[in-house]
Amino acid sequence: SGSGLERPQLVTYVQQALSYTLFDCKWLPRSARLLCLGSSARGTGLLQLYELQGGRLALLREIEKAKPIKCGTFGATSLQQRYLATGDFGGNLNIWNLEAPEIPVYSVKGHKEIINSIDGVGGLGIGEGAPEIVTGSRDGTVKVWDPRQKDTPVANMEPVQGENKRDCWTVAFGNAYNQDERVVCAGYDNGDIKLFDLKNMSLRWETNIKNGVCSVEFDRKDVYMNKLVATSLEGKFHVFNMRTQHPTKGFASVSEKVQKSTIWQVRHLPQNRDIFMTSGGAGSLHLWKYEYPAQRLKKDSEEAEMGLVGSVSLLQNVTLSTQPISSLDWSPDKKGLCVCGAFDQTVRVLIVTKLNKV
Amino acid sequence: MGDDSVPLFLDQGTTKRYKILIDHLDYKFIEKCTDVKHLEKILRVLRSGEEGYYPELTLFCEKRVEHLDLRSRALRKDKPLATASDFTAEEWKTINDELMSWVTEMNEDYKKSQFLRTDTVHERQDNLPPIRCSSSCLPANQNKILQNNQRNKKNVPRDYSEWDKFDVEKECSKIDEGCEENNSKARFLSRPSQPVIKKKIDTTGMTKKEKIFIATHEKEKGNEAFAIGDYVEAVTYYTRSISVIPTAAAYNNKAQAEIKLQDWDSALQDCEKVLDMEPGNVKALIRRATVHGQLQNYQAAIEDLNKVLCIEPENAIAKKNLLQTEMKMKGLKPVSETQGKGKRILIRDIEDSEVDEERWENTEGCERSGGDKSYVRAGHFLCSWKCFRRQINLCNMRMPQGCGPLFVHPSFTRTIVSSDDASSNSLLNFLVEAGVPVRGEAAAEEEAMGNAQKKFHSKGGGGKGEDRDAQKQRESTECGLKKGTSEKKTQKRLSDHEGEVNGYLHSDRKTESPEAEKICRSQGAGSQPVAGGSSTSLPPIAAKLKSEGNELFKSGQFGEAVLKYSEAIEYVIGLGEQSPDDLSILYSNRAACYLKEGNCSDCVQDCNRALELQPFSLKPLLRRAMANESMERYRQAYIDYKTVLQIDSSIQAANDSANRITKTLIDQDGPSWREKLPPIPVVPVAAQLHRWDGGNEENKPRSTTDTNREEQLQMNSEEKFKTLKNEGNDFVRKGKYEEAVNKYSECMKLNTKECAIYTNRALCYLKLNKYEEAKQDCDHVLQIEDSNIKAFYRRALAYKGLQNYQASVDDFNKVLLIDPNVLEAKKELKEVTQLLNRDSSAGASGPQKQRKKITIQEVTEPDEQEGRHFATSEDVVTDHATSKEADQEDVPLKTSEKLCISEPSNAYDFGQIINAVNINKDKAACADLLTITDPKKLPMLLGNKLEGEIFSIFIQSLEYYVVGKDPGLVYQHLFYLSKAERFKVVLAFLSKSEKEQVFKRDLQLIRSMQIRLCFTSKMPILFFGHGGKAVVDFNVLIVEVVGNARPLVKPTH
Repeated sequence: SGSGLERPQLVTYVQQALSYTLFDCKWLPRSARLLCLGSSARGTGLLQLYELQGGRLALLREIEKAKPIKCGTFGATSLQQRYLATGDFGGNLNIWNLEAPEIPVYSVKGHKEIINSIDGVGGLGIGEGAPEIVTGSRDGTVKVWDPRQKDTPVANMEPVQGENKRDCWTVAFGNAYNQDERVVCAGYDNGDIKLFDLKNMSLRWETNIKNGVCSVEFDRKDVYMNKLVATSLEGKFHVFNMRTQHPTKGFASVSEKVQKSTIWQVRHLPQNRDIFMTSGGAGSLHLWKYEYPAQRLKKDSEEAEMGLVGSVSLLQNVTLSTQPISSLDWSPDKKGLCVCGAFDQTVRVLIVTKLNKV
Repeated sequence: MGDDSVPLFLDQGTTKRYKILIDHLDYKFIEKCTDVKHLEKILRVLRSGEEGYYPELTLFCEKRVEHLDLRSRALRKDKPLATASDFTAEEWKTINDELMSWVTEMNEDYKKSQFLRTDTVHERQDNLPPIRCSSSCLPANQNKILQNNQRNKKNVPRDYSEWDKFDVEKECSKIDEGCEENNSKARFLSRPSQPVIKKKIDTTGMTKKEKIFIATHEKEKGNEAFAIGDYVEAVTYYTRSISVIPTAAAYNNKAQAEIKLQDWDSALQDCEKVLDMEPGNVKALIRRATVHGQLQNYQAAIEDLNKVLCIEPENAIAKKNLLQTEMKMKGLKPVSETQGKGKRILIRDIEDSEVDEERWENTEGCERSGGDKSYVRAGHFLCSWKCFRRQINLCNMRMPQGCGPLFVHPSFTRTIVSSDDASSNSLLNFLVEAGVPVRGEAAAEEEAMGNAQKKFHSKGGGGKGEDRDAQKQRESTECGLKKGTSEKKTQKRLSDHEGEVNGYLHSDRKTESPEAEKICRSQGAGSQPVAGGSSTSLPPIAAKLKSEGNELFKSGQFGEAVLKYSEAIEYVIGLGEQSPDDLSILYSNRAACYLKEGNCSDCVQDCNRALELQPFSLKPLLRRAMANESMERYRQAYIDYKTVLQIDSSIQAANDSANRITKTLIDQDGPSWREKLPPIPVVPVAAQLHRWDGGNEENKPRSTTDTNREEQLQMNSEEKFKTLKNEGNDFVRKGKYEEAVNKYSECMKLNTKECAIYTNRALCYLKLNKYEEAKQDCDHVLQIEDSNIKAFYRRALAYKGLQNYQASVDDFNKVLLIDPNVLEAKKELKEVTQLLNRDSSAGASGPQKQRKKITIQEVTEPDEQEGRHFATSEDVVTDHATSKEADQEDVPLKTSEKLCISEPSNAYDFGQIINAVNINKDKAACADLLTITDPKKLPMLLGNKLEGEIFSIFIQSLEYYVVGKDPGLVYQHLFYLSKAERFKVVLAFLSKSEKEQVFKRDLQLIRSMQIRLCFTSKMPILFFGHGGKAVVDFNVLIVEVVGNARPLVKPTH
């Protein structure tokens, strides 16, 4: 196993059992603190702030709210404010000042049903342009919010009336490399992936990956759109080369079958966009590396550019739990540090070693 | 173990899952099975335990799958999370400590930041971009507001189809007409190839930590972009990172990206920024060296690489680059200042020549007359090897501008030899040609400037120091000559000749070094009152500026040097003091910069000013002449050269240029060209220097050759010696070593002190497997010259032949001691050391080993394609060793192959690959490269970098690897190769030796390649020679693809 140790290893640094159902966990940027969001046994929302202290997690604060909290993001806040935006079971988007969490600094009943997914951009020095939050809900809509505009979204994407509403499971920002460009990618329960161009207010691309889309993420939000990973219910994930869109064929992709169970999450390493981790329904984590093809595009017979896609290689895989790992977050400040929350009501802080050697 | 045999007894047919034959669950089957899919199924069955539990068989099957497909999914197993116990205590401590310190730091920061968090937050808010479609938009977005309001009124969200129907063009035209087109197209495709990204990040209100975070983030983005070759993007992100916090790392990476983009100037600047911050930054030094190399500032490149090697003596990249740079430099630089250096260059060439026989004979046998136009004058060949090397070096300078780095191609030497009246002119023509704004002289000039710089610091004594130096040099070279000559006459002749060379060099110094200029004057008649004393009159500030200017000039930053000189000039003028001397030098130096930049008119202006202040100073005159010549003002240039020659007739560059211009003027103006010349100013006696033999040579540039001719008459014995030696060399060339030995032996009767004869004869003996004799010759040489590297090298080979491996190793070590860069010696040393280590009884006999060396070169070339059918029965014996050798060579080869995998995107990449290929002589890699390279791009990719060696390796790899697969591609490559910038020059320098012989031998090969070559009535034009020689001649190249004749290059004469 000498060579085995040369590969990145996943090590549990700390783990903490919780008394409630954990839906999401997030590092507080520029700190060694993390947040756990979930639902208490009584059906209320819980928000816990932990700090890494030595070899343990110290609970600094616990805040209880009316509705279970499904998801959260710091993506649209400044590095100084570090306000947390959350989506809850009641379809509310709230922004919290964690120093004064009693009243949200922003609150809107954005959706009729649960907000499944949330993402932010334009904050934390990541992404040019206005700070914006996108929410995706079971009510079938995807809405973009600017914390400076009360009550109404700045963009709204929903199906035609009368058409079947699909449950939106995941949303992500991307392409925010300058003040004008920005896209939102949304994944739905029927396997639809839609790419909305916020600059042109258009549906730029859509595809279907046959199985429900559990998680989508761009490798980076703030670069000229490069790659997108979408994970699915049936244990597969797809990597799309987002650099080149063919007029008819769209974006080239490669898929990888991981296991039989759902891949709940995909998260790219903030310090290296070509490494990402997927978390699986069977309590497993897979660390991947994307390898670029020698050429990233070619011209088809009609001289239209079409993208070419590389391959993914598995760097490491581990099984931590028998329950699904529903949330995953890399520390933006410490390379290789990550937190994951599983339905076994445990939050784990992991270290991934040797990422520099990959 | 008992479990494992169970399947053999169970004969139930197939497994439940996948229906695999039970028999397949067996070691023997698994071992032989190569079907990964099938094995994966077997593995799954085994793992399921459905057919029983066989842990060892399962493991065996896993191993087998792993062996066949490392990435097989079946190999993925659920693994538990690693824990601290999976690491060694030390590893875990490192991991833990690192994290702990991070945690502590973060927690402290967090607390601090709580105090700091105040009103800065609000400031940041003001900088935010407007809300999308919101009423707070700026007036420019009014339409958008409208649209938004409408939407708000309706308050009905838009559905997907609506999204799709959304008339972008219309909307956009409302919003911003300028963006219209872009937007509409961007909707579907063809986004801008280079996204518009802000180069600066607004950091208002950010704390230091935040800035660090952002800067790091942007740098990481840059690294990622760099990693996949998006260099422009990478540069942008590095720039953004730098805009937040300028870090050495970001500058360094940016420089690397700029190197990839061939943006040398920016790369240079960035490297310098890094080195300002971290003077010992190895990467930056290496990068700067690369840039310097690309900008032809080889001296600066070498300095940087040496700095690297001071810091990291084992830095392989630096070593390699240094070697390359020196080789390139050798192609440009005249005699190095120190003897040591000169020797090193010399040695390397010999060793190069050892690489293959033909080349050897070209360098060594260069003295022989080249056949038609180039013949050697009596006495010339007698100059010592060093002297000869000088000529080569001088000749190398002839590379006309744009030639870029040029390895000394052996055949080059042929041209050099032609130092008779006519061709010495041509030789010197080249010198001056090279002196025109570009290349060639650059290195020399830098060198000289470097000198000047050094001297400058030592002020007053400087003049004498210089003089001493020069004298020392002359002494030492003469010393070298004495060894090679027997007769006084000869010696005189030689020193004359040497004087020529030296003269050039000296004049070069005089020409180029500001300080030396004064020395010249003081040297002159000794009667000049101005002399060195005046040099001190420069005020310190101006002196500093000047020295800075010199430094900049030295490092090739001519533009910046101009600024420094200009400042100095302004300062001196501002002082109002009359110091015409200094001012003149400043002007003259600035003129040199202009000349380098190709700014000829400013150069002329500055020279004029300098000459107004100091009439008849050499350097401004020479520079003006060069500038005028580049501007094709031949008459003015002629006048200046003539004036220079009046002052110092020893300046060969001037002499030669004058002759060349004479020809041009005759062509242009006819026989009465002189009448159209403006009057040549008469130089006052006081300004004249170095008057040769008191004669009035000024107006007779060939007078030196007249005197030479007289001496020539008195050199019969030398001539005979020369003839014999030439004949000997000829025989070597033809492979008639016996005859060559005879000739050389006769030579020795005439002159026992000429080491070259002994080393040549030693080589013949080596070829004849007469190792004892070879050894004796080498011994003899080493008695005369105890550090003759060639002799050591050949004696080492002789010892090897004599199976005296220990002595052989010793000698190879001596070779490497003298010059650690002799690759051949390294290779041989490795081989002999192996032989030594193996038991001596296993050693093959001498002849085989000798042969082995050759087989390595030839057998490895054809590789898979041709197989080894060349190998004779004798070779078989050594094959083992050969292949082993090849295996060991594998590593460097592989790296170069790796390089070749991707198609080179630009000339720089291509050049890098080619260099790697060239160093390893890796023809397979070269063939790969050529296969993936679009022939059409070849001239572009080659730029001005085509040179003999590269040409040769191209031809070889095309011959061995490509032609069999795709003759059409070979044709295409040859065709476009002929379009490359330096193709004709390279042709002219390639050896045409042995053409008949090689031609006969290769005709068959050529036929088999389906490429027939057309010949002019006289000579074969191009054919694929054997053993790695492309023989090309006569500036004419015609290749005919069978049945479809298409001339490559039309005959030019």
